[in-house]
Amino acid sequence: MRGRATILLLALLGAVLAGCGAPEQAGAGQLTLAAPRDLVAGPQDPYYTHQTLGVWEPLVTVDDRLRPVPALAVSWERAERGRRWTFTLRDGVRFSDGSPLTAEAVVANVRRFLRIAPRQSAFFSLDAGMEAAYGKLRDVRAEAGRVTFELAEPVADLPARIAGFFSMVQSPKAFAASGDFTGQPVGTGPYRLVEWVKGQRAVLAANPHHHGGAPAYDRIVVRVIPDANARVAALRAGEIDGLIDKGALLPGQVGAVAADPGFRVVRSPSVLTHYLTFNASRGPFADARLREAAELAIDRRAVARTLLGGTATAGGAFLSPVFGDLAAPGSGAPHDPGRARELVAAAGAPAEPVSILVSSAETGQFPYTGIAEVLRAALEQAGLPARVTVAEATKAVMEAGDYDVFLSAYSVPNGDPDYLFRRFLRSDAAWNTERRLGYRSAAFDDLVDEAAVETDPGGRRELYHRVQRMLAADRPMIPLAYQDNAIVTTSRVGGVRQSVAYVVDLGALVPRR
Amino acid sequence: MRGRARQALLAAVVLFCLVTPLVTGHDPHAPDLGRAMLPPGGGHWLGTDQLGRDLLTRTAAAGRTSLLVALAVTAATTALGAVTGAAAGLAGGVADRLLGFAATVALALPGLTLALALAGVLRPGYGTVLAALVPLGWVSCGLVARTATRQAAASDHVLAVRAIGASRLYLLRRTIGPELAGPLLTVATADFARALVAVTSLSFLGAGLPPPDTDWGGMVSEATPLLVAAPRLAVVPALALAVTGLAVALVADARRAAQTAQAAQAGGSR
Amino acid sequence: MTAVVLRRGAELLLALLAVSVLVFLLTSLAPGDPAEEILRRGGVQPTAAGVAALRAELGLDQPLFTRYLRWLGGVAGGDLGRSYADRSPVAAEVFSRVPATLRLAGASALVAVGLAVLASVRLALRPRAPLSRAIALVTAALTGVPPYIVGILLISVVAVGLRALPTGGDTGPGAVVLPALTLGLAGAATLLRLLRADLADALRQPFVRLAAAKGLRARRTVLVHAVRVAAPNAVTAAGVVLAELLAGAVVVETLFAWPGLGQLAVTAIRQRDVPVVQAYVLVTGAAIVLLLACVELCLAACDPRVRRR
Repeated sequence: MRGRATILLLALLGAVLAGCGAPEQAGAGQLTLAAPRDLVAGPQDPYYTHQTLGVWEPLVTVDDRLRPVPALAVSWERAERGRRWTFTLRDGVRFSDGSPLTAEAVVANVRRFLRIAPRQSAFFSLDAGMEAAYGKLRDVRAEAGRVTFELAEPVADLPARIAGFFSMVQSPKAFAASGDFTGQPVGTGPYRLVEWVKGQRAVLAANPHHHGGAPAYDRIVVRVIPDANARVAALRAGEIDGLIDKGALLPGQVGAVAADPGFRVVRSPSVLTHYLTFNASRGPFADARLREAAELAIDRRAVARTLLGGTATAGGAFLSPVFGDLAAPGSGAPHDPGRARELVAAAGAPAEPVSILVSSAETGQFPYTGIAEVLRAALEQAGLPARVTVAEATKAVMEAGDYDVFLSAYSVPNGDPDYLFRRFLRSDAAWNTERRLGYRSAAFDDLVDEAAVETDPGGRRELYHRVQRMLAADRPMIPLAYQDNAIVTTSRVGGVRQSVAYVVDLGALVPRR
Repeated sequence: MRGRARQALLAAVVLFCLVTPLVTGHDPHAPDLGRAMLPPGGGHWLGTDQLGRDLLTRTAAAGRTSLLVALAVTAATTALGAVTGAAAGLAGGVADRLLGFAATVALALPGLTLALALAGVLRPGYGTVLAALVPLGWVSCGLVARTATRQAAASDHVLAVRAIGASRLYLLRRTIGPELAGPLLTVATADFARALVAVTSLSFLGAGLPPPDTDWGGMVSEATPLLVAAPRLAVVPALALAVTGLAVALVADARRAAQTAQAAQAGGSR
Repeated sequence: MTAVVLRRGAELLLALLAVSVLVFLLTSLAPGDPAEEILRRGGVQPTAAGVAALRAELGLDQPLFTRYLRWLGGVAGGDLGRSYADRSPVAAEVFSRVPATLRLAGASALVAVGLAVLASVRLALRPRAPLSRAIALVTAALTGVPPYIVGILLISVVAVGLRALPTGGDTGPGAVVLPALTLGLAGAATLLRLLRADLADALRQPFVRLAAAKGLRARRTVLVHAVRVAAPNAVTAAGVVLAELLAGAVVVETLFAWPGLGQLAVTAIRQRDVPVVQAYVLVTGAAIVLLLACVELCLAACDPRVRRR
């Protein structure tokens, strides 16, 4: 009996294990990457694929400092103080179906966006960002191989506003009248999409018509692994050659992966900043002294160093470093728990504990419960009793005014600071009024309006520095930390670069010895 | 393992959860970034976590929460199951069919997914965990209570009490009720093990208790990004959960075995 | 027999209807505005006009009851609506994931049933042997230890440490092994507990005792007589365990990046993709109800006592 039972058991295990061999090995010329989300969204999406996959290219893209840099447009000119912008296209560019890139094709893409907006996307919805890019557009036309945008009002930085997704160019033949795609995406990028299994993988093959020559890898497989632990496990097990995209490595994972000589971690600044938003329409934080106390109480450097695993820098100026010289130098208060205690003592501690609100949607990506706990302890040490509330639908909670400080991350769609100030903090901003921030400052409103129409770079910079100094004093929101994004490849892959918008140029990846 | 040893193991776990915070003298919830990620040794026997909290103390505190919440869930499901099951078993007919129908619906709903969805509707908290797990968790108790009630109601002494005109409520309280206690306790012990798994799974998936409270699933979940850098942060709570789960399952097994033996004896003597 | 089947069928349909109402209410009553959350993808604050337009497109401006009826009408016609996230038809998405989930469920059921049957026979034959005691202990451990811990352990040791099997994803024939083991072991423990009690019961039946007394060898007693007695209960138990496997795949599929329905559901819940969540619960519920009905029918067809009713 025992013998037979054992044989049965072994046979069963054998049957289960049958056919399992070593994991799929990447052949020469093939690269296997993984991302936390599907970088292909499908024919119903405005873009079909994420810019990272290199299937399509934009007119203008951004570098690692949110500066617009040429892509399909080699240069651009401004005329009439920013009412007319003309983009010159790169020569000899062909779509992956062999047809040439024309100015008419670019115009057709812009018109399609305007026609179908607002529309949701898995990447960048054709909504607020679109409005910033094309809200003042009067006409777009093709002239002698160049694309001209006529605007109703001057815009100082149109290239920055349309950079990336909003200046995507695909062959007009790829679109149906509804704006949906008729079949595969047809772009000019280094790769073509040859296979897509939704939610699992996208297979890219080198585009033979690419203007920059053939990319180094013939095929790139981008797998979707939503679970952070599973991603790193797959990397360490040698199943994949790298992790890309937003949140590829969680802050806590970066240290251990970077310490492994087999991997190369590339960390670069991102468009994402963690802010604390105060509810100044009620209770404790209506008192400016307590908002100041809160800013002094929390040790932003320690949070960035430990909880965010060194993948972030402590917040200072309202605008993050990716805004370059528009970020005001030297604004932001230092860590000073003693002064925080004095301020609380002077203002008087509230009877009710301060409510720290966190969105559960964000706790998986960043250690927000941990940060909220640190903030709670810091506030309590300063004499402000506090409690942490995690909620899924933070909007409803905030609209009811049922919070005192909200911890959350915000991304900017482009390098135009006006977006942040106008949409979040101006007295009539939706964020400010609906979420009960209670920030009313006529001086701030005027300054924001003045900066928005200033087209002289020096004057614009000075105005935005003044805006930020005003915010540093008023504290409706304070920047907690500027988040970097960390991606990783094995040491056999080189040429890894990442833009602030998480775009990795797959065409630039090369094998390394 | 003997029955006593099984119970002793469970008692040891409970004792560990209750006493450890007193022994170590650390606050399980007080972050101190200056002492983050300390290795074991010194004042911290198992080191500290990414917020500088003592791992041992925090594991014990999380254990207390895990056990309490699982106990609350089990108490609620058992009570609900006992009442509905006994009512259906005693009344029969439409009530009985209704219970069967409710059980089918509850069984057909994927519990954990629904609980996750519910956590999105309500704010994370003790009430949400209960609301997510109780409505679908009572089925096992309900069915057992129904069967036991039916059996008891058909037994000679109940028939006798009924014959002298006792009300249904009296029957339930004085004659059938006591007979339900044994089988229900057995199911409840097994349900407790399952509740422990369910409660910590919810936390693991990020729909658990509001901070600073946490349970073992929440601790494991928090520690998974650091699995390579500091495996102990995940291993310690996982081990605590495993030992507890084992102890509860063993006690449940022993109870079931005792009950089966008892039933066999009763059946044999009949 | 036909009448029984018809009545049972009507009951099951009613149960599914109840499931649909519950699911619709639960997912639709969630606070917050799906339209706004969808547009905020990418972290950018949406405009009021954009939110209003999307609400109208998704039909969110209609009253709840109208929305339910419209949804139910669609479901009856095989249309599960469109995903909030990417506007693609939900039915296609859900059914494209069914094979992976069935494969995982099948492999785990194989592990669960195989291990449980072998172990229960062994335990019934020699309840006091050291191996039996070890099996009992492991079973107890597996009932008490959540699958996510078993899964993390298997990934760390077998996939990353030994590189013997893939860490996850549906990347090859071997990829199903670790998730199936994780899910199957938990199922095996549950099933073994149920089987053990049944076998022990069966062994106490008078005619089984008689067979043993007549000098039948223990192995034959167990295998032929007792198993036959215990089989109907065992099939029921297997049905329940399989239902639990289908429902419980959520954690394991997330952990192993297994592209099944469970992973889809978790992603959809996180993205507030209400139509996908509704479709998942409805499809899983229907599958479980059908499974239980099949088990019942099988038993009815085999058991003369039930058949005659």
